[in-house]
Amino acid sequence: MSDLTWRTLPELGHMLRGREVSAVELAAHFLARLERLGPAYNAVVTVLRTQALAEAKQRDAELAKGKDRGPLHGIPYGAKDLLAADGAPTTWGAQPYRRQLLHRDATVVRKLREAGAVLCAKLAMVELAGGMGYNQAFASFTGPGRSPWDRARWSGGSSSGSGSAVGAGLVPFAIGSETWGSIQFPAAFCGVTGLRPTYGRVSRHGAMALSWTMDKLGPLARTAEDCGLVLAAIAGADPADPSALDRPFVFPDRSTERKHYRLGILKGTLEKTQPEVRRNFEESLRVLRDFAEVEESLELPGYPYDEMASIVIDAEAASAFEPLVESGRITGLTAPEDRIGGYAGQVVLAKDYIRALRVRRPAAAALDAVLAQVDAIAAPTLPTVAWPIDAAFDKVYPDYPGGTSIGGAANLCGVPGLFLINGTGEGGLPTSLQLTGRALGEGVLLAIGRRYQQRTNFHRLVPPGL
Amino acid sequence: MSDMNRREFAEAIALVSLAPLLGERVGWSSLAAVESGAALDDPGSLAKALAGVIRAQYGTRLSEADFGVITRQIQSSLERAAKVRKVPLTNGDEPDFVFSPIRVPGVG
Repeated sequence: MSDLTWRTLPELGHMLRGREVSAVELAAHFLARLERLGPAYNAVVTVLRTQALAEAKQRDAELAKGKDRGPLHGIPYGAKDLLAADGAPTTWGAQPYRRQLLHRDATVVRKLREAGAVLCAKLAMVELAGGMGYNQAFASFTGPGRSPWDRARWSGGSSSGSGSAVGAGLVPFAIGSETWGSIQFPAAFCGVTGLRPTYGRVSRHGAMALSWTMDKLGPLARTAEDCGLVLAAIAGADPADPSALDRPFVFPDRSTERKHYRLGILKGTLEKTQPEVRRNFEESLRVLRDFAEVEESLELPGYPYDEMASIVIDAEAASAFEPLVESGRITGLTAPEDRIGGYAGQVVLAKDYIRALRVRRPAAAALDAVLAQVDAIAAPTLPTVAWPIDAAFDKVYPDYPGGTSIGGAANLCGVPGLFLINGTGEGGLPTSLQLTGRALGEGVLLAIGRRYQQRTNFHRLVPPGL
Repeated sequence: MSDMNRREFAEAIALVSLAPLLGERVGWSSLAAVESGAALDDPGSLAKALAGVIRAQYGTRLSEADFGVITRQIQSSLERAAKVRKVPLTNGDEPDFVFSPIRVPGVG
């Protein structure tokens, strides 16, 4: 049944409904891969074999009776271990929480169950989603996340296991989270497709809080279409999360399917990127130009987006993790720098935090005005391929720090991003294309991404040895 | 870790790709200060005073080297805030958060 491993969600759904495979067989296939290969990538915290097989059995029984919950019915998946799931520890990737039992399901987990998806594993992550300032891949009690493309390279973080599990074919899709870069990096370094939804598009209830006003949950999967199908299942209002928007997402959204699109590129976006990254991005533009005009001289507004994002995360994380710092249990974290990374945020001045929140409003309006000129801003997701796993982050690829980046602005202002493998670069490692759009513009990004993937086969590439 | 911590490093060279990872909270407002070798080597009095708050609360568990790192992190944070303060605001510019007095029974 090795031909199951790299299938897209519609392909697996077709096989299920055609009785080529059962939900139990699907779950068993991916459970075996999680158990056999997961340790090689430090991708897994907890495999939920018994629970998953029981759920899969129920999904088979439902299909036999004609009850079909939709495109995720019977599809296995994994969840970043910051999402509460009843019956399993929720560790937040951190030794001090290794035995934490929350006895409830995150809203995302509940919604996916209602959509028929089968939770097979809690997936590894950087401790506390990187909230303490890690500077190395060795920042999780499960060990450094390893890329399926080269185990000597980092999988990216903080959704490390979500990226590597999808990239290694351990699950068809996974849920990750992003506060600033945590879906972006694993999607790029593991060669998969990742979607950072609009802030509020997906309920955060039951997810570890790093920054209440910047945390987002989203899928990592094989294709843009897969990401759209997952987003459709998890989006929507939630009384338990006041920030969750009452804006259900339907995929495919036919209103976003057009013949032509308009893309923008920020000035300086290709500066100081690896040659292969630049080459692959330019080749991606050639493909995109089949159905999109490209405006090449956009500029970000002159607001201090990155500084504001830093202040907001510092202040909110200081409150979120105050008990960890107060108790001294912070010394139990894995990365030495994380053990002292929680103190400076404790003295962020209230006026500075509130000022950042005040400036956020005009800054977001200014960013939206730029994004409104196009359907999406395109850029390399990252300026290099995956980093060596044993190098300090401040020592890797010093010649390629990257050019103009929209990441801080996009995360501060809560706008969506789509990340797609667009080729390979140094060492045969994946490179990635990033599309950023207006708030609630996931449908447009996914439509562009799907059109791109219909014209390319990079999303079908399988890492060596797998 | 190197003497220059990751946040200072990223700030110093505007290491864009590192920014989200390095604590998910890296800016580079202190570039000029780092280039001049001034601010981060010699944190200001406010940074030292705020580090004193940390010392008063947690002094027994942190080393002098730890305090050095923490003080520089505080200095960086203050420099980021100084940059944000340059954006003009009026009294009517409200924080961009939502507060609702309407409570859903059984939820918070």
